[in-house]
Amino acid sequence: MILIQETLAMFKTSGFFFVTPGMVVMWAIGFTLIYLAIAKDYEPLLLLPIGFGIVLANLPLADLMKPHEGLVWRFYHYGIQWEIIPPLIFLGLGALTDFGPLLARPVLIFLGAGAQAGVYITFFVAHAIGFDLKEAATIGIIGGADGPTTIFLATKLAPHMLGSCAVAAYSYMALVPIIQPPIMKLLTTKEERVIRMKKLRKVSRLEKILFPMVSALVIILLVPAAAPLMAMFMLGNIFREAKVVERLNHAAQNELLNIVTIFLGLPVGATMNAETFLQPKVIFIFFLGLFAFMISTATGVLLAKLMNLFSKDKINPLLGAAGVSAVPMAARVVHKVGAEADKRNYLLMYAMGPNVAGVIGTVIAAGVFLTILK
Amino acid sequence: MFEALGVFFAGISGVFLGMGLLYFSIKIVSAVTSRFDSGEGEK
Repeated sequence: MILIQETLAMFKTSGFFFVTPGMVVMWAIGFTLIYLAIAKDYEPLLLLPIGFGIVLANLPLADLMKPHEGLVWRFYHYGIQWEIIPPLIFLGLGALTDFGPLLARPVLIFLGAGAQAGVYITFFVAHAIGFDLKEAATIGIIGGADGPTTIFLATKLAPHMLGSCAVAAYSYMALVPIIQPPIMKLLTTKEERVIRMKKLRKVSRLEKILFPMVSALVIILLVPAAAPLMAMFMLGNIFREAKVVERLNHAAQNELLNIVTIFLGLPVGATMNAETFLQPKVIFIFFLGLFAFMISTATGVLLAKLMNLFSKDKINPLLGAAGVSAVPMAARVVHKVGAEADKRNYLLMYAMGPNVAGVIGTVIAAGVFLTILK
Repeated sequence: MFEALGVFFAGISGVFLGMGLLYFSIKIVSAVTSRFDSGEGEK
């Protein structure tokens, strides 16, 4: 009898006794993300640790997200709340980014700005349907299709929405090949899709070295709130282009980026507990995130068409869709849709210009939100 | 709602202003570096 009572007492102190239906739902969401990452290859680098983080955060009594005590909370607090990890991700991205195509055809930079219209249109719509200004800004930035920037902004403006916005951003980035092509085809004619771009000029090494320094200077002076992301992005790019710090360049692109990716995904997922996540608002976040992404694609394409009205050298309007900063996925989609219309039209290199401009555009958009709303 | 409208227009104009400044920066850098270019360009 005593043995049974002892066993029962032990069972009552175990986590099993405290599992709630909400937690089980969150496990299902976490395991779904893990499944999508492993079986469908949907942004596995982020969705796998995010999914696992969701499961961990919803294990009763484990207290992994307990403030000041939990292991994952420490990753979250010192890594994300202290703004360490998103800028370090940007350091790695900078080291991976080749600005050559953008420097060769600088006018394409405006396509990176055009796609940000979706961010602000969604911001306005989200506010109109009841989200406060900070929440609406965090939802709008999903349209920029830039995970680290979404996380950076959400941490500062709406930390309670961090998990859902990050998952929405990375999910839609994984779905770029499905979401973008119908919009691109709807807004362009076959004649426009077969437009061939003028050959890119040669870009000197000196230009590539000077660009990150000049752009860091210009953007940080214009939007100081964007400094953490912009500074690290351009530092990484200087590592790449200087060609005298290959060890640092290699470390930023590989070891550092891989390590911080682990410590980004896990705590972001762990912010999603049943109490904060299982709310009707979250469904709106996912719908609005998709809306933002679609509008950003559309505004990029429409701006390219508008530019063609005034430009001597025509731009293939498909390039506008690469203005969202899902690098290099959006550029690959542009190339694929272009190749469907004309197999010999090689758009990938040209699409990389607006694609990397989109990264800068999203950082500026986040910086403007922070400047006005924080 | 007016505040949201203000953020909307400030945001759009901020992004285009930033990109415009970068565009002219690239143009200036390109013009200046072409004087020093030894001809060893890369695509």
